This record gives sequence, structure tokens and C-alpha cells, in this order.
Amino acid sequence: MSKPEASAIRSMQQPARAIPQGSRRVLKPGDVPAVVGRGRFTVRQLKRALDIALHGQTTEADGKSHTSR
Amino acid sequence: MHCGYTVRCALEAEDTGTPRIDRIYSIIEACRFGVHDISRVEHDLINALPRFNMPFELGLFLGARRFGPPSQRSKQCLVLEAERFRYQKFLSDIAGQDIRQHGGDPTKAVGAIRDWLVSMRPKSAKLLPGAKAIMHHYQDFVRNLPAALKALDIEPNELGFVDRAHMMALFLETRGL
Repeated sequence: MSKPEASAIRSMQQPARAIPQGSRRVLKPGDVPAVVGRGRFTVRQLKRALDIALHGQTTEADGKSHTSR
Repeated sequence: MHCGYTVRCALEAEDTGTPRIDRIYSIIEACRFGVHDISRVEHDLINALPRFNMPFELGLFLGARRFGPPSQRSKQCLVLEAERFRYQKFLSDIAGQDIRQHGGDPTKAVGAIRDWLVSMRPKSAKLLPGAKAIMHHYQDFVRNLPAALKALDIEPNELGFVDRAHMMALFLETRGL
């Protein structure tokens, strides 16, 4: 199997994750970004908004829950 | 995205100043798989003219596979149409390609893409969710989107492609999908 083929198969076997450019998370070898490009919001802002929509609160990096007001 | 692939779209870099056609070239070059829905060729309401972008992009994809360097030869594409054989009336040259019908039904379109991706994957790859499950999760996302937009203090039309796609990815992650 050629290297590109092996790489393509590895990519198929791994789930895409939300690793947007502009966030603090850094792509590691083997990571498959779900989206390419830079948006208007940071991943943290989007995550916070989604948490509020789903749970009515956010869970920040400090591990504490922050209820939306 | 739900099937574990990176989604690409010319809209992902609207603010770079790069000409749209160059963005499309680079995206097509980077993608092994292409899905082209040519069903939206109806006349638009303002100009009463058909939209040709999708058939044009399909042509670029096929051209890259045919004339590109060896790295482009493994490209695979799926063509979606609303009605069986309708394409023969406006794009007969693509006969022989992998063309599937969705009848204008989003669940059928998702199912066609999902089934096609399954056929492209090695047997050892993990199973993909079914079309109904994918649509169920999408509807779950859509239901929760207004509250997320409210938290961002923006209107629905202000959420660009990249942010929407990032939010979908985060949603899938949150749901453990």
C-alpha cells in the first residue's frame, strides 16, 4: 500500500473533530479537522453559545458551571 | 461531517480576498471526494436564469481527475439529481458517472451520500450512521440553533458557513457522535 493510500485510510478511520483555526487547540499528526477556515467567532465563543442552547449554562476551562443570565 | 469527513466549501474563506474561482480550485485540489448536487438548476426568481455553478464545479472536479497530476487521479465524485435521467436534458455529457436521485428529499440526499461514502471506505473502517439518524441529529441541531444564536447576539443570516460548520462539529462532539 502506498503512503498516500495508507494516509487516506487512516483519515477515514478517525472521526473529524472541531479544531478551528484561530483557536488555542493545535492540530497534531493524525488529527482531522472537521472544518477549514476562520470564522467570525472563536471556538470558545461558539462552544459557550452551544452550551447555553443545550444546557442553559456553560462549562468553562476552570471546570465550573456558569449559568447564563 | 457526521460521517467523519472534513467539509469544504468556497464559502469557508469569503474574507480572504482570494478570487472565488481560486478558492474553488484549491478546495477541489485538496479533496479526494466530491459531491455535486446538480438538481438546483431551476431559474432563479429575480433573473429567471438557471444557476450553473454546480455543473461548472463538477466539470472542474472531473477535469482535475482527468488532467491533473497522479495525486489527483484517485478522485471520486458523486452526482446528485432530483429526477432520474433529467440531467440528460441539460448535461448529457456526464452520462456514465455515478448519478443518484433524491427527488428533492433531504433524507434521500443524505442517504445517497452516506451509502456512497460507505462504498468508498475500506471494510475495516468504522460503520457510518444511517440517513435517518443523521437527519435526526441535524434536526436536533437546528432546534437548538436559535438559542445558540441568541447567546451570540446575532441573527440567523449573520452566521457564516465556517461558524455554522464549527458549531455543528461542536454539537456532534457534545452529543458524543
